[in-house]
Amino acid sequence: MKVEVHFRLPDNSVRKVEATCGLSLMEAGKQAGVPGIIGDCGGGAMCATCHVYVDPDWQDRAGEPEATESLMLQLTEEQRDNSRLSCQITVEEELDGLVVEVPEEHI
Amino acid sequence: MSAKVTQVVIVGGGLAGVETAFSLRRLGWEDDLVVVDVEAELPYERPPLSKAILLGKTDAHRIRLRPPELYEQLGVTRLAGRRATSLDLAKQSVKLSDGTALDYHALVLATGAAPRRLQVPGNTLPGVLMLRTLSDSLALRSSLTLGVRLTVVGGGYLGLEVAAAAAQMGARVTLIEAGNRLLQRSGSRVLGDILANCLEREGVSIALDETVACFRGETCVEAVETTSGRLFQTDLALVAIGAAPNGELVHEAGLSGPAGILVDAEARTSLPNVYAVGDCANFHDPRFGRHARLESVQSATWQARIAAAGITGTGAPKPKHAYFWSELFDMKIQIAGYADPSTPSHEELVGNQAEGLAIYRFQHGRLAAVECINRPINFVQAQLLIGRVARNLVDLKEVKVES
Repeated sequence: MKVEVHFRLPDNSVRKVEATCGLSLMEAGKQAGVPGIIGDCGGGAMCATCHVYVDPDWQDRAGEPEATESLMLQLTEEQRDNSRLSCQITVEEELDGLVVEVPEEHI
Repeated sequence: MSAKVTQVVIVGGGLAGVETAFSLRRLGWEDDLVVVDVEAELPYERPPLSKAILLGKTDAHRIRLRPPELYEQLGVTRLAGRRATSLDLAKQSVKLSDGTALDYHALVLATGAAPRRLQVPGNTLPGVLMLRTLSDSLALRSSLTLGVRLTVVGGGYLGLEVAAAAAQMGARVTLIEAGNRLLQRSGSRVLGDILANCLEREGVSIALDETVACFRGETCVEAVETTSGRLFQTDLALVAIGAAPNGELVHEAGLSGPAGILVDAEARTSLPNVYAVGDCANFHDPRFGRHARLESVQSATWQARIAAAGITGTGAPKPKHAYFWSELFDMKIQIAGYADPSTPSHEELVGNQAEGLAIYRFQHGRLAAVECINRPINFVQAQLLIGRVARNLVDLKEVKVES
């Protein structure tokens, strides 16, 4: 099963990605070659190189960061209240249409 | 006069090479981009080779660095199954094993490292294995049947990970280490001893202070003999005694030594337009103020981005603290920072094995590294503390070490 997720880049362009359910959002973004989604540590919430801002409309469905992720987010250049590590978001059916913003940080 | 060459040639299809290629595209490099890869396999992540792949928890296509179509989409040409054999510096050209020559505007050496061989009799017997590539990992996995005897030579992370995975798969595992503890080059004594206990609890038998004298066997390995005269009967042996940088290509040019290809903090060699990144590079690390070759995912990706920035004339990424990780059984091991193994260090422990623990390592009056087992909070917090002037945990108290 695939859903469509949108990565908005700092230049305001949007990358539409067909993401397979069950993968993490980081994996989906990386597989599609979305700039700024790096995922150095392979998805272990250890490197914060897959930081995204979840569109406020989607924040509830994407969920809140867990304790370790929250700490890791403090290491990002500009943490906001909608910051998440995309490796900690699992792509699922209810995230069809998800919009996230990619920060300048790793581009 | 010949046309201006605008091609970037990257030698090596491991993480550092592939990351350089895609970083170049990300940074706006529009001209030709070629990756020369010895392996036929599409580039993949190596860390899972001694963990998830061995255990059958993931498969080959899930560990690909990039999907196949992305190479095509972004114009990253992969010349697979070929080796760069020589370099013509005057002509700025690389010769490949198939006889073709590639002219370059910039050359990035990402040739990696090769597992060190044990130079002892019997080292070429069938059943004496090494682990570096996906096919090595798959071959080892298929040999690890229930009850098979495996002798791992080397008590570094790779040896420990394979020993743990093999034990989980029902192999009877012995681990031989020449030093008097595990992780001699890569971890604290405390951590080495804790992991030794865990391995032994899971049935791995550990022999310290034992140096391999030879491998014995008629048609395949049957035993490992050590210099003290001990004989370890075995069906398989895995040699995991570290890796040596691949620098043959620039050996003649005098750039390569036992510690790797010498590069500055911008990943440049002393040759014009020639860079080296990843496991093959002896990089002038601004975090330590000296040359270092750290075999890690983070070093590889960081140096790749530095080289790509150099080639495109864009700003280089800022340094971050080194980090490493490993997995043994249900233990997630995360290490922040880097402690120099040749320098004495002072260690203090926070937490316990049941709830997770962290080992703080102090060197030269500073916090050098923090080793965590199932304790991600301390790992994350450590990123902000590494390098702080402190001799011990008391000195760090003002920044509240979670305990």
